[in-house]
Amino acid sequence: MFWIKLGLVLHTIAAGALTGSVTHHALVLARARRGQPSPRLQRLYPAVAAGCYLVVYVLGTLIYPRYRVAVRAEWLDDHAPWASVLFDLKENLATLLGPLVLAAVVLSRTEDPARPSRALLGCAAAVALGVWLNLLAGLIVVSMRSV
Amino acid sequence: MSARARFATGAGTLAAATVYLVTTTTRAGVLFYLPTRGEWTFKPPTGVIAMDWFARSNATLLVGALVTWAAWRLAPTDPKHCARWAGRWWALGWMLLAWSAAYTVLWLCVRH
Repeated sequence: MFWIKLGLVLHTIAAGALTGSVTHHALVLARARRGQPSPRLQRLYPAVAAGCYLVVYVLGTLIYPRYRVAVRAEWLDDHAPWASVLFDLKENLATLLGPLVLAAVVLSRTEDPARPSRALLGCAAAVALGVWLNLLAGLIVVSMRSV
Repeated sequence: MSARARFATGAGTLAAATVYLVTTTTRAGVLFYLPTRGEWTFKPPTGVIAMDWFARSNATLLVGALVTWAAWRLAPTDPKHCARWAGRWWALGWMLLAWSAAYTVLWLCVRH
């Protein structure tokens, strides 16, 4: 039980760091498109985001079976089914964001920082939006009932 | 270099979205985890909690990464040709990702 709680706390901390890094990445890219590139940050943020994504993913995977039985099956499905749906949306959205996180890392390391492509900007914006949605969904579900 | 990266990541994104959509809609070859028993099975018994997310998610991410790597190696050497195909991969990849997200919302809302 202690390890599950600890895993949830670390999962939340890593999710916060992920949210910060992807948001800053999208913002520095938007600035670079307007002619003010930050080459070091444009490469640093996606690398940090990829590391955080991996940590969030692995910890979430370890916690998930406990959530599925002790939280969702025993409580959420009966008392707040909408929260079950919200959690399922969150976990599937996290999966769909994975390829875009990888793409952001690869593109940020190969493109000219002064001229980021629309593909890279699209990846960064989509990942930032998705991660914010996931963060809010996670906080709402945890506020209902947690592992 | 940049066109090659867009080609590889576009192909990887398209492949990942395809795997996600196929495994979500058909459940073909999806391995289920039974958390109350600590077992893995392709055919979960009725009345038992079964989780298909692990298999679907890991397959999506793994195929996306492998196809990105393979496409990087196999990318056309002509930059213009490479850029043209990169645009196609990304257009299809975005469409499939958007459709996957929309399908997931509809599927979960109907299921509950």
